[in-house]
Amino acid sequence: MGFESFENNGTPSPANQDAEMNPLQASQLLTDEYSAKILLATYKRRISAQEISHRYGIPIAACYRKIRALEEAGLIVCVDRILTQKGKRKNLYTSCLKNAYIFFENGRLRARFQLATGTVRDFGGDWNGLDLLRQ
Amino acid sequence: MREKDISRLLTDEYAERILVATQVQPRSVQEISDRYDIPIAACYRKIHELEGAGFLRVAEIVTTPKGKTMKLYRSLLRSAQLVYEEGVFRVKFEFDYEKDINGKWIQLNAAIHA
Repeated sequence: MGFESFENNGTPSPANQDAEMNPLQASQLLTDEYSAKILLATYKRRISAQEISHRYGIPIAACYRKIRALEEAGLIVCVDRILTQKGKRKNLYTSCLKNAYIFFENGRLRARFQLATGTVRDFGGDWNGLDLLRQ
Repeated sequence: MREKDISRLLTDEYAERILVATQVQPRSVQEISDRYDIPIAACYRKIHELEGAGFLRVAEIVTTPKGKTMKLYRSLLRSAQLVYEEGVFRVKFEFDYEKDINGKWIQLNAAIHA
């Protein structure tokens, strides 16, 4: 999968931003009410911000903000920019999160994201002994 | 405890921070508010909600140098696992005491959807 090796060229990339995220921030990408809804809305579907906002009752500004945060973290991706009937551009998003695990025990919070590309991102240190989660 | 309540507690911006803050040692509301950057009124409200749901309890009541009493809260949650697989959110809790939802996987999708 060697994508990571190309990302370290000094430009900001989702991987670089993740490196700065602590496990609580990573976890809150999933446990935030709106983020959880957006992840469900974009699962195996291409959907616009307006449609997510409408279907899930998320205020549109918050919806855009959370979509951007999830996009920056690499959990959703813009797959298409379609032209609406009114001639405006509309982004369609889809989830690239395959699995996610958030474990909280002994006062420690750890998060693991498995992306559809096969990339695994861990937050909060070592996952040794939890190799059963690795597919 | 119903899925809706669990989902609401878990997807709250502050609940998770409060549970992390009180896991290792008992802390006062003021201390949690300061260290975890939670507005004080919201911090009180959320702590009472977590206490009511059995996630927190008052571990100690101390007297400050100014003679005021202060409650210190401790998390009753031993462990929690949140799993997202194939578009499904599930959660499992283990508490320090007997509780109806101990060790049970709870599916959250319907509650998140609502």
